[in-house]
Amino acid sequence: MMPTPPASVAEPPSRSVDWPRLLTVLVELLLIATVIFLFEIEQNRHLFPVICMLIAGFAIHAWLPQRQRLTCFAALSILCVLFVLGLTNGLVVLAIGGTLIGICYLPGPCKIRLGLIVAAVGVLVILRRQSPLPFWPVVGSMFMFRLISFLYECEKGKTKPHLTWAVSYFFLLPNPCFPFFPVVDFKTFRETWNQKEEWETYQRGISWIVCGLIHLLLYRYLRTNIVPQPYELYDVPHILLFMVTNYALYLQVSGQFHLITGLLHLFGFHLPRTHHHYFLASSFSDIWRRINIYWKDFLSKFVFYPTFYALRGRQASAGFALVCSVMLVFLSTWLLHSWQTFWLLGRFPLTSNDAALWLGGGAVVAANILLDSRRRDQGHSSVGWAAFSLAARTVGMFLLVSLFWSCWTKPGFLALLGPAIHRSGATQGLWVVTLWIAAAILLGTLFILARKRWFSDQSVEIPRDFFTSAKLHLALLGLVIAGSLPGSAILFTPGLAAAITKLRTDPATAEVAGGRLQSYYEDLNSAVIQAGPLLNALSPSATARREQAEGFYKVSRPADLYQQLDLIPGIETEIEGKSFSVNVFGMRDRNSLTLNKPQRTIRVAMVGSSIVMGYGVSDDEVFSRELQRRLNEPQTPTAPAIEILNFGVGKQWAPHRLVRIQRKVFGFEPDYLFYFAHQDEFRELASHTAQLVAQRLELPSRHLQEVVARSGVNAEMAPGAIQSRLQRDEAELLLAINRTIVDECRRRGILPVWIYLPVPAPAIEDPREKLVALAESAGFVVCDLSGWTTVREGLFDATEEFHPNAAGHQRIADALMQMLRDHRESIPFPLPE
Amino acid sequence: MEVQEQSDNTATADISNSAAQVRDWLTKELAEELRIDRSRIRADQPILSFGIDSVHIVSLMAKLEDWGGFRFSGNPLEDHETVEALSNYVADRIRK
Repeated sequence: MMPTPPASVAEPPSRSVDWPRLLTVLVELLLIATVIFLFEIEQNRHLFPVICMLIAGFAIHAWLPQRQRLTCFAALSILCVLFVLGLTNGLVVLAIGGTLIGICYLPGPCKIRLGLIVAAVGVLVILRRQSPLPFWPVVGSMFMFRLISFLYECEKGKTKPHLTWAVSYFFLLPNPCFPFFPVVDFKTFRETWNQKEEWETYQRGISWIVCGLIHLLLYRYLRTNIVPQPYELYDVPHILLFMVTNYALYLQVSGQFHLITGLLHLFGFHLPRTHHHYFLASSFSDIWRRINIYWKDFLSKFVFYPTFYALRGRQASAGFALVCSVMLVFLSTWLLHSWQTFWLLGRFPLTSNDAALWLGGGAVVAANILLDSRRRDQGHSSVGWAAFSLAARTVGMFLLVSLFWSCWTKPGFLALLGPAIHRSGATQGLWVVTLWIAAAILLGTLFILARKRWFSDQSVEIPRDFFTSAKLHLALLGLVIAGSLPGSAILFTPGLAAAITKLRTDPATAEVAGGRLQSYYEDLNSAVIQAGPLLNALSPSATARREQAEGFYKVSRPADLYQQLDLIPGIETEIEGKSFSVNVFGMRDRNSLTLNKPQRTIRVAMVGSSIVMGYGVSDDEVFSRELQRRLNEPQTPTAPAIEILNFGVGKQWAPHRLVRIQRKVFGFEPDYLFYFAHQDEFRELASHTAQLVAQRLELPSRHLQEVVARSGVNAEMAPGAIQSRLQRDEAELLLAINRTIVDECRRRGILPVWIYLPVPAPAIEDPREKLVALAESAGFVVCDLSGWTTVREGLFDATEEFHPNAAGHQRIADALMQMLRDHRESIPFPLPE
Repeated sequence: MEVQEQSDNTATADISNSAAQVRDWLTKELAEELRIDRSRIRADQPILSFGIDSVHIVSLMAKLEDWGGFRFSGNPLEDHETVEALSNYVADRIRK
């Protein structure tokens, strides 16, 4: 059983480099690297420096004679491990990998080798559990599935593959950047190497890389612009949009897999496709065939076929064997997903929710397969009907898979869905959704008919030669680069230019949401790459940057122009030693909070600044929590529960709060709105409104539109001029905002209460009278808490500090309790005795 | 010696005949499964390259098992990828 040298295609005796083709591929790769750099694609995975290294590696690889190329690839793969992980962690990965590979090559009976591998994996599992060191995701990613495939082929073959194959296969580049990696089959890996003419393989690789980049940009666009926030899920259109976009976020996985396999093509591996138009699946078994094909192939090879033939060998009927095999495949999928999660994230999730979903999914696929086999025997229907049927099944399947996806990747989705669809007005927009679905089916039918008419052969692929493909890639990449350069912004409308700028920023660098908010695949993709010092110096990751972030910026992220920033949903951290947690709705509030108001509950929404948010105190010390505790102190058994919802956000002022109320607060169905104002209530009024006007964005209220119209400003004017003119109408602007809040609250039966809570600071001018007059004029119930304190001692930790400490928050809660007692008539509230 | 050679030749001819029968059966069934003309199925092309998926493959193999009156011990397409190779293997199995 001596290892055989790597097989290679016979090389012509007088081989010379095809320079025009090589230079063309290099130019394409340089444009790809530019797009990756400009759009910060996979920045957290250090893709840009790694792709630069791979481009250099490709040039050397393509220049080398055939017989040296596999060795070159193996060397590059090892270099990639050391480059990405650094010398220490990289060497640990190579040592662990080398040991496992060494066991595979030990002489002697197969059983001994298998036993040793199982023992070694057992030790690694224990070590992974005990010490969460940064190299584990990469080690796990390289060996958790590939070891099975490699051992199988080794034991099956008469001779073992040359060591170069093992090194290339296990340390496969660019695996160190992407711990969530396609399950490449060893046999396919070997057989596809040099399978086709090299330039055809390279060009196909470029096509896939470009395709991957498109998927990743689409993913980014969807994630930052389209996916509704949890607090928006109160009607059918939003719920449906959430479902389908949540499924569409899988584009991240398909994008990465296209990118990875595309890169492998550059080194001669003509690998099959990893995904095939998975959004167009028309049945449960079809989706299984189209999505993550390598995973499907892996399970077919090691679970499905062996189970089927074993059962057939025991005289089982084909139908029974098929159903059992499918069920076992789904059971394995569930368990292997947990196995994967263990290696990438260090936990082994086994939930009844996942079990029910996967086994339920398996049962549906098995039933579908049996039905499919019967349907095939039925007579032929008309072409039109067949096209309609296919389109309807495709749309239906997309919706069903979206539902499955939401239930799987967002545990608790069904629990959220149930009460949400029972809310008043939840079915608003149902007819719009129905129309969209009908339109999708109609368009699908027309597309299928047209395709049948012009391309009778469904598997038709337009053949493109090397240079035609290259021209297409160069044109596309060139356009993307040109369009994204800052200088080209003058060619676009401000809105489009802003959208392109936004698309260029990797959302992952602007936010690090808690794991529980993310979908399964995003969760897996969050496996941290701890780069070595060299790579960190070249491209510091977002994590490293965030560690440097201070104070409020640690817990906030940029938002659109209306809000400018928002709290990062799900983040749990410390600011100046105080715990700071944000729930899934982006509020500094309890995680147990639900969008739907529980029965027999009174809700008070508190809207305001960083003082309301509780900057400077721990989660439990914020005055909203204290007030809630006091209001729920033992009452009569029939008294309703009182929930105080904290919508406070730092670095936001009146215009931002108006939008926050419109977008977020009303969804929680509050009974009271407590709006907190301080001395800085006029701040940002003119500048923020001027920005909206300059950007031609719709102002968030009719009252504001009227003020702006009266002031005579328009988008054609210079932003500075707009702001300067609006500055004169600040009082009008604030009144318009107040009126909008009051109008919208009254329309919903919410009592709007305006609370003046000044910060004791003698140096700051107190506009109390002006503000109170504007609030009263707008129709608020006005409460002046100017007397909550006159001294700073003991309530603020520093002279220049505007944020009260824990004692200060206690004092504010006292003042609020007193306020509720003093205003029993205007604010009817069930107060404890 | 001559008798032995004749016997070997007869066996080879039997296998060839039955391999041709298996190939014929397999081509027909594969064409039906894929709903394509049987002339498009080349005997030297890997069966999986026709775009048939795992579910339909095992259904087809189950039919082949029933037709030939034997059982595969594992996935036959792993080692016998083409119609030609599979037919020869199955003919051999039937003969045994």
